[in-house]
Amino acid sequence: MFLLGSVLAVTLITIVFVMLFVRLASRVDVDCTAEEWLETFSAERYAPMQRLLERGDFEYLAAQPGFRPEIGRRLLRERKAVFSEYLSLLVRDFNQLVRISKLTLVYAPEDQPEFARALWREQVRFYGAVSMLRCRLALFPLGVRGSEVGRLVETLATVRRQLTLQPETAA
Amino acid sequence: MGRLPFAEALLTIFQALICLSLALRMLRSGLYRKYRYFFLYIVVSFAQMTVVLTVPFMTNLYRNFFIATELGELFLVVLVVQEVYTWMLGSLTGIVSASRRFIRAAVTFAIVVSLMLLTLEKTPLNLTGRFFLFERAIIFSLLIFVVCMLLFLLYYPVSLSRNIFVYSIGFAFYFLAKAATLFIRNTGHQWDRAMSAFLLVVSIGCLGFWLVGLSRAGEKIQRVIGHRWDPSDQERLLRQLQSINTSLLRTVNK
Repeated sequence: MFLLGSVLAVTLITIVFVMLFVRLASRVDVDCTAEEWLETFSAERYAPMQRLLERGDFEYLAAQPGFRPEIGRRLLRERKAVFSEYLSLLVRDFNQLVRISKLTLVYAPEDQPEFARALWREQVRFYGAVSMLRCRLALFPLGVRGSEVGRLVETLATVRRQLTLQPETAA
Repeated sequence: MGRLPFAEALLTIFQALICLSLALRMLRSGLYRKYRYFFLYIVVSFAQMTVVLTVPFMTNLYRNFFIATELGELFLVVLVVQEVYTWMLGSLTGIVSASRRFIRAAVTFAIVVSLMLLTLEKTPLNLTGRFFLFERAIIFSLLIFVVCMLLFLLYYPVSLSRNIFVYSIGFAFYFLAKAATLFIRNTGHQWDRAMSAFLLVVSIGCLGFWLVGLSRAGEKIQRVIGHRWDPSDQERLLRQLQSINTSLLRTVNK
């Protein structure tokens, strides 16, 4: 009975993770061509995101004369909405990079086992981190650290760098 | 000595006719050259169906004939699945290692899950029971393997002919129905005639699907499953790839 329960629990958790993975991986900007996107992409655009939910800003505001709690709540609400938007854009950009990477892999003239392995690893790491960040954003928004965002952006830059290192594809 | 129940006999005749139509279509379109094992499987199935109607039902002769021909078909089905994945992944040099690793993992996973199900099935009392146990294990392994291959294609944007998709999706459904009916039987539910009729209907459905779906034109129509952009035009896809290379080279040279 216990074994059956364990197997069912593991199966259920696996299905949930796979669904989350698929949902995250399906957010792509289909209107933008790969070439246009690569020309304009830069991880620098996410620099402001790292500061959006810093405690410092809210503590500074709370210390100002005339501060009311509803002002703080409104600011937090607005900052959370902007952060959430940035996060969605980050996921879309990552998925676009992954999409291009997979295309490059499939049509590469030589076998690329390391790149394939690294791409899979980065995807799992990225989507896991995004899911955790979303949970933190919902429950403890002021607990979101800039370094967590920095790691996500670094993952994006890592995949971009690996893509640049690939041999010319068989087009 | 008996005869096959009327409904099953009728379904078997109908199945044989669709089998024959599919075999003729594959001959006319030249697809038998590419999908050799699948063509052989259809021909052998047709032969089995026509002969089985003449063998006295519920006799040792019927049982032995059934087991012998099912074993032959099982062997062919394994070759058919191997043929499918060779066509799917054979020419993709960039992901050779990744696909081999995945196939090894998929085969291992398929066998382990299939064998685990044996613990839920009753100990067979006769030759037929032992054969069904063996057949269920093989078919279920093949089902998991085909599903894993489709998942692999969902992950990588591999462009394949429509025929390959029709081929593999048809088999996925067929294996699912067959594995399910065999599993139900092996767990002690003796609904032989009902399940036999159900399996005949599913087989007819799959054969009809292949009859309609497989064509010479289907070799030229390219599809990529599971990816929001759908480069049905192979040349447009490759042009985009070339321009990606150009962009990347510009980035490296900056």
